[in-house]
Amino acid sequence: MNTCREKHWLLPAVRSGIQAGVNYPKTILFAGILLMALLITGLGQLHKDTRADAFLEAGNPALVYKNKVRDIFGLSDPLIVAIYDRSAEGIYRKQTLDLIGQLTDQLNALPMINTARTISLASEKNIRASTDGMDVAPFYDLRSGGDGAALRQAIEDFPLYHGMLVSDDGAMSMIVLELYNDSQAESAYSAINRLLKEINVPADIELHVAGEGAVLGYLGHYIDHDASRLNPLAGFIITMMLIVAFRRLLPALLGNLVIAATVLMTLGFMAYCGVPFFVITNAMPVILIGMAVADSIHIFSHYYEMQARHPDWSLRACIREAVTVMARPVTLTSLTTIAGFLGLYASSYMPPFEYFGLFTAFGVLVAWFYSLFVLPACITLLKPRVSQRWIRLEQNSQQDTFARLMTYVGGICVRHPRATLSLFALLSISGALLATQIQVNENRLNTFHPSEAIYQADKVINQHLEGTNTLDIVITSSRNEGIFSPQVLNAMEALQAYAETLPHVNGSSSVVDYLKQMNKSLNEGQSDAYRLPQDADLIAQYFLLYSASSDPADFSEEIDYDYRLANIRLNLDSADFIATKPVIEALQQYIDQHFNNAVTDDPVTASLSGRVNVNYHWIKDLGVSHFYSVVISLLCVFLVSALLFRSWTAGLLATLPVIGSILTVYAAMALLGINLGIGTSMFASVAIGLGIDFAIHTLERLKTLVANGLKGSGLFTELFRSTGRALLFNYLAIAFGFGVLISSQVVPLTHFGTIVVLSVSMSFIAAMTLLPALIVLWQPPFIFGDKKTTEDHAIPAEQHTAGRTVLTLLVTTGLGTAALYGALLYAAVHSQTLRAEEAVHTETLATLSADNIAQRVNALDDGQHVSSQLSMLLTDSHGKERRRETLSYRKYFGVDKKTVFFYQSPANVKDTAFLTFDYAAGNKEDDQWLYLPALRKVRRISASDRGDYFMGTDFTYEDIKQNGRISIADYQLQRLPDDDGKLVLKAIPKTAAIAQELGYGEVTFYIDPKNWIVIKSEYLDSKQVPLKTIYVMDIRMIDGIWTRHQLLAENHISGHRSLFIFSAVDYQQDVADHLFTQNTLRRGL
Amino acid sequence: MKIRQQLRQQHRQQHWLSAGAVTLILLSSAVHSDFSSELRSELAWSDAPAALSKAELQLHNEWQYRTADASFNVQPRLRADFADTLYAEQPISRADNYPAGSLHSSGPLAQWDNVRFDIAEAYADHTVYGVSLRSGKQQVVWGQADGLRVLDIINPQDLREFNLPDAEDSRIATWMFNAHIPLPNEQSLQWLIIPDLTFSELAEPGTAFAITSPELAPQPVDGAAVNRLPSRRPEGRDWEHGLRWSAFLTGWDISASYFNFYHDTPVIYRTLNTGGSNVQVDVEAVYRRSHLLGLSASTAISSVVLRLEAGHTSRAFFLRDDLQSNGISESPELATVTALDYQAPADVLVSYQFYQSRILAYQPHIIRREISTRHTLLLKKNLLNDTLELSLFALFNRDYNDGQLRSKVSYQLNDRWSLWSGADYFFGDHAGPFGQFSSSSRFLIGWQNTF
Repeated sequence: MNTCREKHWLLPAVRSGIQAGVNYPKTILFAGILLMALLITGLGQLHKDTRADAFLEAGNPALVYKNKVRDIFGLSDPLIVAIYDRSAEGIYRKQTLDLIGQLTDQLNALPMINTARTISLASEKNIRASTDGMDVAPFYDLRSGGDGAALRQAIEDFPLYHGMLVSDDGAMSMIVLELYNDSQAESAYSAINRLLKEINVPADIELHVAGEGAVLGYLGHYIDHDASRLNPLAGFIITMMLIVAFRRLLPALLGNLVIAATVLMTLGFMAYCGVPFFVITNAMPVILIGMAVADSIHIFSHYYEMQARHPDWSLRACIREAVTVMARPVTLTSLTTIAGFLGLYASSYMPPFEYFGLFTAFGVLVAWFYSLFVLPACITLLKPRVSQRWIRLEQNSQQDTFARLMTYVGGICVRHPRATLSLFALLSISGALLATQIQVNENRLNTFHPSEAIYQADKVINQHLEGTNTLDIVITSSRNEGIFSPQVLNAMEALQAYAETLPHVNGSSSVVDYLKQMNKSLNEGQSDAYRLPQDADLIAQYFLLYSASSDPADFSEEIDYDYRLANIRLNLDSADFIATKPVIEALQQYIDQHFNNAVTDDPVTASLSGRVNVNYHWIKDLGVSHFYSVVISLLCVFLVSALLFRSWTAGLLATLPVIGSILTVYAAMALLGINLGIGTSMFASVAIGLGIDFAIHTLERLKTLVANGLKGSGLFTELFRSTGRALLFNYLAIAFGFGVLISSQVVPLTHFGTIVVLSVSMSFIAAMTLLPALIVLWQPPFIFGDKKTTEDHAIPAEQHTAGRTVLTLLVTTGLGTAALYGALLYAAVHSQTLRAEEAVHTETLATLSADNIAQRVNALDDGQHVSSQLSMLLTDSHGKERRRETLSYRKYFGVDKKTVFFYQSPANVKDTAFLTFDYAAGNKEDDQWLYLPALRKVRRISASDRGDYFMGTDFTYEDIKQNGRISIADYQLQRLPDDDGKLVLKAIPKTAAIAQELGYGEVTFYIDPKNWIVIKSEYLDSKQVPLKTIYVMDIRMIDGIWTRHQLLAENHISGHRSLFIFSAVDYQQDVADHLFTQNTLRRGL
Repeated sequence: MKIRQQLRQQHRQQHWLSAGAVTLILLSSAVHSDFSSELRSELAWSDAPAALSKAELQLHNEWQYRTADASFNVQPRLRADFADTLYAEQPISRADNYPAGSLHSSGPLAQWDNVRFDIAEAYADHTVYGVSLRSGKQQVVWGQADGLRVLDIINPQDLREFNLPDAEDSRIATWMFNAHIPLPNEQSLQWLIIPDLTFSELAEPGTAFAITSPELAPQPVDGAAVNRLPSRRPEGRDWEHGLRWSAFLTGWDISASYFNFYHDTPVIYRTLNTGGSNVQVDVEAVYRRSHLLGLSASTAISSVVLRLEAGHTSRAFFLRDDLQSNGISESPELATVTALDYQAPADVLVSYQFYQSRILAYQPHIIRREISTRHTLLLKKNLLNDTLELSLFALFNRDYNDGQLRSKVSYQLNDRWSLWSGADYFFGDHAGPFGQFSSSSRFLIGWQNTF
């Protein structure tokens, strides 16, 4: 039954390979299941990365700089809790002020909140005149009278807070919260919401949570929730489509098997490769569902057709024929689709898009394998039978409704090819013209449905306060105390004033505002004294005065400890790219003119940073990236189609319907006001990937039918009746599958769904109408043989349109590339000016807060990996000694850390080994294993008892884990007077539970400011009895890293001592990954 | 065949062993080598009859040498028991648990009345393209359970002292090829090929831990003489092999394994022979092959470690109380272990294990219960910076309401010396696998010196 077309393209070996699923069904099914099981196991490792930062390469200058600024000033994306009081008195009435106080306390009690950085009316301090000069006292001290009038007056007298902390109308106040670690955003957001729900508030008070921190915290959960609803729905709809198409359940079930394999294996493979699930990855399952189901439909369709047409054939013969016939088009469509997605990979510069292209291409490969091999294997084994209705229709040479519809519509176009062509040319030209009106815009908040609380909160807060979005400008002087210079401060003040004239910038804050307030308070509160003092010495004295009245660390967000760097924070009421872009560009222009060596004799630079700036940097190239992707994907698809059909004409014919559909979508986007954002920019690759399939199937089928001797009207009638019907269901399945996205709560996905449905519809319509019309006119030789075409005059119009589009795209791309490199160069130059020296000057140490000091200690570089020999000398109270020799290795894997110890001697502990995985995510417990040679087993051990002593030493597991750091999450830190030049911190566990876990009631850390190493720590137990002291000695620089070579722990209760001596410390020699595996624990080094 | 006879027959094989040893010594002189020894002695007194039941002295040496890309490990061991109740070679002693053709390499190199010299382990490690290979005589442990053998059946056991010795001492290392293939994302495959068909060494009849429980040892048939036929070991070059996939996924250590193996204890077939003048029972011990499919998992949840293990044996053999089917019923068996380790405050470990085994094709005449259930509980506390350890282990066998209690106090005097003392107490029905040793309960003291 092999058809003649096989003879010229299928070699016997290839044919036998293609039919493997039919010939060896059990083996292929087993291989399919095994492969699926192997890759699906990776799913557990899949992790989300919904950060906006993920869109930039880790080394992107804007991102690197933002993180550096964050380290210097401790700035992070804030969570904002707003208290909105609709009463006449506003937030100044007693019960609201009480509520703010209560909320501030309760929010600060959450373990993930960096209490030191909380800004609230209840905790901020007022600066005013006093008999001694300056009085710095909490605003809430003014509430002693019981009413809020004095407080209102104080806020109105302090311009910095007026509008920022309390709205101008007094109706709203906000509490700004920052986290110790951004990875805790999700848990922080839910904890805050839980807390707010539990609080009883009067009816006229509303509480809102917003801010980029909240977006970060909620986005992952929101998208997950949406995807968990949409994906099953898409699967259900596609299943229903398959049931309707074949009037049988089995095709639907097997179609779902192919879908499941494609989607799950692709995600599993992603996980194996360590690639995270980005925001845009949500679109991938839906795309793969569409791809997978299309291939299945074609195989099944042909299989049933064979059954109906040849009742005398065995079922195996039918599936063999179906596979043989469909192998080529399915392979061709898969190859072109893969080419399209690889084009996306090659043209993208943002990691999420790159991975999207790469892994979707992989998914298409999986779908190809499962459709062409595993599905036929299942069919061979299960032997599904065609419905009687289908047989009747086939035997009576009748067509069902769907086939009749296709034949009717297609027939019109074939009869009127020029009209069809003209209509499409018109549509394409309109699309190309309208495409220029598409706007690139993105705002992560718009991901949320307008009915979401976070969306509404953002709107309300932005209406009343200065804004939830932050843009930072870092001013850098070349010398310490350079910021005291009046010229620098004046320039900063002017910059702030300019910034506040820009649209959407509603307020700004910097050390300038505090200095003006100090000046005012020292001038008896006169309004006209709200200005900068013009004397550097006076300015220095103001800071001194302030530090005498309050905590000098109050300015840690505005100025660094040696007064060399200062930060200006602007508050914007919109995160829309179209709103922030002009602001950034105007500011940059201003900075170029007025800063960067133009201020004083000392070089002073200003650089933009913060969330808004980072977003600007990745969104500004979105349009360019999109056009690149479209051009390269189209080129790939064109080349692959041309190669497969061995004809340039075929390449052009396959690509034209797709180009038409993309241009139509541009037109629709412009008309519907849909912006080109992260979600919507994906549509083109999907439209190309899916749309090309219709054209390929049409061309392939026509070629086959012509080879079989069909011609004239019969050729197209047969095309529409068979392939047309299958493509219709293919299209409907995809359209309904993507149509599900329209019901998504994630707004970009709704837009994405809408335009993909539109583009796929256009591709399908074009493949069924434009393509046959073109073929009628063109009579291309690759279908009809070498016969010369006579009617090719209809083509130039389309070529002209395509040529113009390509030219436009090339020009845009060229300009975009130039802009991209310009921006990168610009950011690189500016980042160089900020390579801040981190030398510490004794005179400025006094201004550091406890948390600042701990952050410095924790920021010490401990190397990406290290190997060392560790001798443990354990001595009991009678002087009896034991000695253990170990080899230890530590290595960072991303942000997680793995450490392993191998005991070398003495013989009674030899070969014992200990492995620990220390996760950066605060809520994830460590994993630990111990290998005991006597058992020959690697034992899992629980890691929760961090206060237990490590292997009989006087160090606890927690001491070993912290490795000289101070756990800010566990301790409330307080600075004590310095001791002999050493900085002293008192650390008290934040809760009784933490104290019990750690086994410590209080710790005192002594830090050497020369190298920021804790050189001594004294531990009290829960009864405040001295428990132990750890001394750190022999601190030397190894490979540029300060390294502790001796640790001595003395237990004051037992008299036992443990001395750890490190030698052969090496940060250079690579530490192999396999050392941190259970197998190496078992086998030893 | 007596061990000594076998040893004489295989005298010639010693030549290549000697040559190998010399080569290793030469190698060791050229590269980094490491030598350590452990001298250990344990004395035990049983209560009924009150007598010294064990007086063991053991010298265990370990010699390690490394080259740049490989390492070698040889562990010669000399053991002697002067109490004559555990290891003494009895007149009827047989050594059919060791492969007849390679007794030296698999079993003892030399044996005198109370003294045995063997190579506990001898293997070479090297890594090829990321695959770590260990070839030689070695121990391999699968599974998560402690002391309950469901998946931990790669190595046979020395059962001459029942389950009392440490696991490391009771496993008999076998010659095998052990490849460990790392896979991405904390996964790995382990592949074992075991050409060495050494089986468990059972306690000789008449010694303290000779098995008498009717569940494990066939009972005499009244009026019938016993005709003991030679044991039947696997013929030809038959190998065991196994494959294990392990992974660390979302905080769980999991593994799935397949092992194609011979049971380490022979199946005792009994055939009633009435052909001659006397009625006699022909008893034949045959080693049987089977397949084991296993799963294991463990994870830490706060202070608790959960360990799970399940094994499906395709062919298990059970003694019947009649002589039908030659006194043996064959059935698949499913065994599971669920264990919880709780790290309690003050360095106390509480470990509980629940073992259950089900005969999947149970027949009424099988002596063992259809569902066999055991519970174990271990309490352990470390004191004085891990130098003093107190432990109490209890095992309760629900089938016969028998079991054992073991307590031990061990003290590490310094890096070289450690001392211990303990008591092993068996209780319950004499027919039970533990109760059968109720007269072998004992008190013991021991010391160990490492150098």
